[in-house]
Amino acid sequence: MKLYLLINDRTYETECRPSESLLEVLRRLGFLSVKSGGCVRGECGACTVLMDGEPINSCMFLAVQAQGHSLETLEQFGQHPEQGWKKTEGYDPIQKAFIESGSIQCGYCTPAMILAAKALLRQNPDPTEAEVREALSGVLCRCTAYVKPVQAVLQAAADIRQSEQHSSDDEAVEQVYEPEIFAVDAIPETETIGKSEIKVDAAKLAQGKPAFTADLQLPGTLVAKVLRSPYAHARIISIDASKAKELPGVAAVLTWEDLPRVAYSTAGQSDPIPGPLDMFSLDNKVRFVGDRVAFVAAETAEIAEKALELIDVTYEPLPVIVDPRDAMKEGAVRIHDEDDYVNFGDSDPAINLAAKIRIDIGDVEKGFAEADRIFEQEYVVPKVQQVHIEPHVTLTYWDEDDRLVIRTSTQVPFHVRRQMAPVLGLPVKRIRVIKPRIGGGFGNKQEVLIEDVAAHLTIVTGRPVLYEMSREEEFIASRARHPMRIRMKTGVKLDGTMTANEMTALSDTGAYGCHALTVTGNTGQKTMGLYVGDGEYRKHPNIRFYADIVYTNTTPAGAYRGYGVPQGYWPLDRHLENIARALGLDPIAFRLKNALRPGEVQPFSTAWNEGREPVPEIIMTVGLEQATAEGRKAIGWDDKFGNEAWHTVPGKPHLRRGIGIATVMQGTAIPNLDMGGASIKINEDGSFNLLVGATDLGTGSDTVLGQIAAETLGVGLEDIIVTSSDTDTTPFDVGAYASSTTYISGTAVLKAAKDVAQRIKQRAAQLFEDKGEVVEPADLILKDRHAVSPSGSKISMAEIALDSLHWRNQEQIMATASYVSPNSPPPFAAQFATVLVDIETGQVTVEDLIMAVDSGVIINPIAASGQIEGGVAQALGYGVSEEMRYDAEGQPRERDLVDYHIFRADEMPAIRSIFVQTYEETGPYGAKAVAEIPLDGAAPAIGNAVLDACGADVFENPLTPERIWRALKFNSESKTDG
Amino acid sequence: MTMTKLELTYARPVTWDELEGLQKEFEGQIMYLAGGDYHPKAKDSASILIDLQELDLDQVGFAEDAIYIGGLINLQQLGDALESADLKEAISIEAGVNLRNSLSLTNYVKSSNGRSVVQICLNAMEAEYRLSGEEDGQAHSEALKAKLAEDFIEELWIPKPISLAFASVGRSPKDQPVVAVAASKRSDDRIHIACGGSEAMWAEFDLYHAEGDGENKIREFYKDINDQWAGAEYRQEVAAVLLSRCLQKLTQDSNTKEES
Repeated sequence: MKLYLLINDRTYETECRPSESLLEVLRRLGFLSVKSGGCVRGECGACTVLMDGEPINSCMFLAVQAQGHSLETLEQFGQHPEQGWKKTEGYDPIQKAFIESGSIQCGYCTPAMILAAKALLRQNPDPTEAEVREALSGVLCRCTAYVKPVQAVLQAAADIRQSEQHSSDDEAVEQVYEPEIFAVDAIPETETIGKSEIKVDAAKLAQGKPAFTADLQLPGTLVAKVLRSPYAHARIISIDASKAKELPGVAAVLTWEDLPRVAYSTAGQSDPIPGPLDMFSLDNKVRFVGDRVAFVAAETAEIAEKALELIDVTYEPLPVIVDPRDAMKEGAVRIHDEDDYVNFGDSDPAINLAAKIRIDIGDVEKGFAEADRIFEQEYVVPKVQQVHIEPHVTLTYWDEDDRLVIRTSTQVPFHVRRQMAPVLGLPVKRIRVIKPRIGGGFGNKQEVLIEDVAAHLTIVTGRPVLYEMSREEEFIASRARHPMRIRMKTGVKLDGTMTANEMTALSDTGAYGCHALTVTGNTGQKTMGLYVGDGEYRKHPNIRFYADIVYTNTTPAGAYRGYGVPQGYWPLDRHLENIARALGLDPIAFRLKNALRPGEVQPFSTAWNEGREPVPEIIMTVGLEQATAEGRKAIGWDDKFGNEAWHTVPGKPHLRRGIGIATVMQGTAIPNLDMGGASIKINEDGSFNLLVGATDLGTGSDTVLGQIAAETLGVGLEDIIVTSSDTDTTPFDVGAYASSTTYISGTAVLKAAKDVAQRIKQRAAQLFEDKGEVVEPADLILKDRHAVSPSGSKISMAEIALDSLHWRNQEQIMATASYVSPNSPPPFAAQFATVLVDIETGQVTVEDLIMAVDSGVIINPIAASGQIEGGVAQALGYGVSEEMRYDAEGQPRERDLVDYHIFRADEMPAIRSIFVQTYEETGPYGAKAVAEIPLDGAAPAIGNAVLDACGADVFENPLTPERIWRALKFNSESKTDG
Repeated sequence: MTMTKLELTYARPVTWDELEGLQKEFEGQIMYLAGGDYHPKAKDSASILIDLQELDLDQVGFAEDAIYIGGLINLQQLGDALESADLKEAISIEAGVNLRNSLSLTNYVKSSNGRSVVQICLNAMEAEYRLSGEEDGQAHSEALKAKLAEDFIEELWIPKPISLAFASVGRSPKDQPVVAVAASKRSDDRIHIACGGSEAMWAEFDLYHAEGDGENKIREFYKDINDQWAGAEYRQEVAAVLLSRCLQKLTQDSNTKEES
C-alpha cells in the first residue's frame, strides 16, 4: 500500500506492507540513526523517534499507524559546521554536549538518548538531574552508566537557556566531566597524552550517521534467520525443509545435510586455539535450547520467519545436564559424542570435561599447617549476559573480485578471517573482514558467532545476506559469563598474615567449550595472584588453584569483559572480609598487608600462561595502596565504618546502611602472545594516516591510539586520521580483548610513530640546512605541527611533507611496526560501595560506588573514566540483579530485557571514578589497561557492604532480596571455620 | 504449495459506523491496531488491520462516581490522568518513558501477567473494562485477556475514590517485582487488596477494618507460589510486610485528607 509519512517536516511517499513496523520502514527510507536493538518488548529504546514531539519506540508501531503524525529523527539535527565551502549552524547543543562530555562510547544508543533529551528540553528547559534521568529512562545504555549523558543533558539545557535567555540571571553552568587524578609517580609533561581529547568517532555517532554493520544497505540483500532447538539435548532424526523452500520469497534453506562438516571453535583467539574444537556450523545433534538447526535466507524478515515455521524437524530427546555438579558423575549422558571432536590439553568429552587446571605454587599444605586459623567456605557466581545493545550482526557479500566480504560487528576481525576460512572452504586470501563501528561487545563479540550463518547463505545464493540476532537469540544462543561454584580455603595467622590460599572452582562452560580453559585460568591467576601473604610468605607464597570446566546443556559461556576475574573476586574478597571480621582486623589493612607490592613476582606468572609456557614476571607498578587511600577518603570511610549512627535511618528501623570495600587486580594483555600492528604515513598537509588492526568497540581505542601517534609526531589529534580493523588494509592485530589495546597496539603505534618522526627529522634537518641552519636530526623536536630547531626556528610539517612527496628525493614517509610484550603489568583498584538494606524484605539499594584505579598514566581521562563508570555499572548488575537461570529441562528463564533487568538511568546509584597514576615503564607513555578492572570489585564490595549493614552474609550473587532475607534468617547454618 | 498470507488490507475508520461496517464485512478476519504494542505482528488469520486511533479512544472523563478512560490511552497518559503517586511509581517500574509513551492500555492489559505492577494497581482500584460492542464492564481476568486477542478495550473506569497504596520488592528499584501488593480504600470502607509477583498468579481480596486477617489471607495466597523468581516462604513473609506498609499508608493518606 501507499504510505505517506511526515518525517522531519518533509512528507515521504513509499510503498509498504501493512504489517511492516515503523522501525523497518524508517530504516528502509534511509533514517539509519534509528537502530534496532533486536528487542521484542520495546525494552531497549534504541529505535526511539519523536512522534508528535514525544519519544516513542518505533518497533512498537506499524508504519501505517504513524501516518498523519509528525515524526522526528536525529537526521534533522545539527551537522559538522564546515561542509567544504558551505557553512552550517553546526551541532545541536545536545549533540555538542554529548560530544564534549564523553557521553558517546559505542554510540549505538546515542541517537535515542539525544532525541529523548530533545523532547525533555523542549518541555522543560531547566530540568533537575532526576528529571533528566527520568527522560532517559526509556533508553538502555550498557556503556556509560548514564553518568556523562546525564551531565551532557544538564549542560545542554544550561547552554540553551543561556543562548535563549530563558532566565536572565541564569549563571553559566559548567559540568565537570574530568575525573580526579592523583599522581603516584613523576609523570613527564606531554601535549596530547593526558588530555581529554574528543573521541575521533564522536561527531559521526552524535549525528547518527550510518556507521554500524547493518547500516550498509546493498541492493538485493537477503535476510537470514536461524531455526533454533526447542530441546536442551536431542538428536535430529530428520529434517524436512521442502515446504520452507517452496515458500515464495525464500532464497535458501540450509540444514546439516547441506554443509561440509568442519569442527571449529567460536572462541576468537590466537592460533592454536587454546580449547577444544567442538562446534559445527550445523550438526545432527543439538546441545542446548537455542542451538542451531537450520538457516534460512529470504527476501524479507517476515518471509524468513514464516519459512522457519515450515521446517519440519523430528527430534529424539536425550537426557539433560543442567547442574554442572552432575556433568562428571558416573553414568552422566555424554554431551559431545561426535567422532570428530578435537581435544585440547586435558579436555575429555567422555566425562564432559572441557578443560582442567591444576596449579600449585609453593607448599600449600605446609602453609595450612603453619596457620593459626583456617577458613573455608563455598561461594556461587551466576551466568550473566553481556547485553551489548547492538545485537550480533553480519553482512556478507561477494565483491567484484569474487572475494567474500564479511562486514561484521566483531572484536576480532583477523581471527574471524582465519577461523572462518576452513569452515567456509575458502582460503584466507579470499576473505576480507571489515569491522565498522560496534554497538558494544564486552567480550561477546570476541566470539566468531554468526559470521558463518550469513556467509554460508551468501555462498549458496550468491547474494548479500544480512543476519542480525534478536534479543531473545542473544540471551539463549550467544555467549555468557561462566557461572562457577568456588570453594575457598585460607590459612591465616592471628596477626592477619596469610599462610596459604586455595581456590577450587567448578566452572560451567555450557554446551560448547569456547574460552573454557582461558577464562577459568584467569579466575585464579588475577585474583589469587594479588595476595601473596606477608613477611617471608611474600617471597614464597603458598597458593593453589584447581578447576574443572565442564559441559552442560545450557547456553554456552564465553568471553565477557573481566574474562573470568569477576568470578574469582566474589569468593575471594567476600572470604577476606569474613576472615578480617572473624579475626577482629581492619578489613582494609588486612587486604593491604597481604597484597602484592612493587618489585614482587606475580606468583601465577611462574605457573600459568593460558595453556602456554609460563614466564615469571616482576610487577613494577602497584598503586593499590594509594588507590585505597584516595577511595577511602572519597567515600568517607572513616566517618562511616564502625559508626552505628551512620548505619541507622532515623524513623525507619527497617532500614540499615552499610559500607564495603573490595581490592582487585586485572591484567594488561597476554604476555608473549598478544600482538598488534600499526602503520603511519604522512599526507601533503602534514596530517597522517594511522592504520591499526586494533578494534575499537566503543572504548575509545581509536582515539587513544591517535593520541599516542599525535604526541610522538608533535601534531594535534585532529591531524591523525585513524582507520582501524579491516583485514585488507590495516596491519594485523589480535583484536579487542584481554585489556591489550592501549598497551600492545599503543606500543606498536608508538614504535611506528617514532620511526616516522625520525625520518621527518632527517628531512627537516636537510630543509634547515637549505636555509642555512645546520642541525642534527636528533636535536630537533616535533611540536605544534613543526620541526623545531634548538635555536627556535621552525619548519612546518606540511613543508616537510611536500618536500618528501613532491620536491626532491621523493619518498613516502611511512613506517609500520608491531609489538608483542613479555610483560603484563596489572592495573589495580579499590572499589567502595555504600548500600541501604531493607531488613524486612531483603531489598538492597546501592547508593554509592566509587572506584579508585591505578591504570598507569591515563592517556584520555574522560574516556578512561567512562570506561570505569560503564564497567562498574555492569558489575553492579552482577552484584544485585543479573542472573541467567534454567529449569530442569534446560529451558532458559531469561529471554528479554524485562526478565533480565539491566539498570536504567532513573535507578542508578552515584558512580564515581578516581585515578592514581603510576608510571609503567613498559607501557606507551606509562599506560596500563583500564577497560576490564571495573568489572571486578563492585559485586564483592556490595556484598561486604550488605554484611556491614545488617550482618547478612550472602555467599551467592547476585544479592537478590530473597538471598539477603534468607541470610538474615539462617545466617550461621552454612558457615564453617576450622 | 503452501500458501502463506502476507498481504493485508489496512483501514483507519473515523466513525463508529464505519467501524461497524468493517466489522461486519470482515468478521473473523480482523486484527485491531489499538495503539502501540510490545511486538506488533499481523496474525495469520487476519485479512484486515483496523486501526482504531481516530475513534477518540484516548480520552479521559471525570464523573462523580468514577474516572472513565479510553482503551487507547497510553501508560504515561494513564499516570497523568490519575493523581496517584503510587500509581506513577508502579508505571515507572513497569516501563521507561518511551515504552509508556508507546504502549496502549488495551495492549498492556492483553499482555499483563502476575508481575505486571500497573495491572495489580488497577485491580486494587477495582477497575472495570468494557470491550467493544459490549454494554457492561467486567473485572480483570484471564478470560478478559483472552478476549483481547480478538477485541479491544473501549473504555475502562475506576470507581472513586481514587485511593491507592502500592509496595513491591524487586532486584533493583525499577525491576519487575517478585512480590507486589496494592491496596485501595473503597467508598464502602472496604479495603481492596491485589497482589502478584509471579507470572501466572494474581489474587484479590477484601479487608474490613474489624476483620484484621489480612496477613493470614495474603500468606494463604502465597503459600504455594514457588518459582524460579522466589520461594513461597519468602513471599509469604514479605507480602505480609508489604501489606502492612500499604495499610499504614492508606491510614496516613486518610488522616491527611481529614486534616486538610
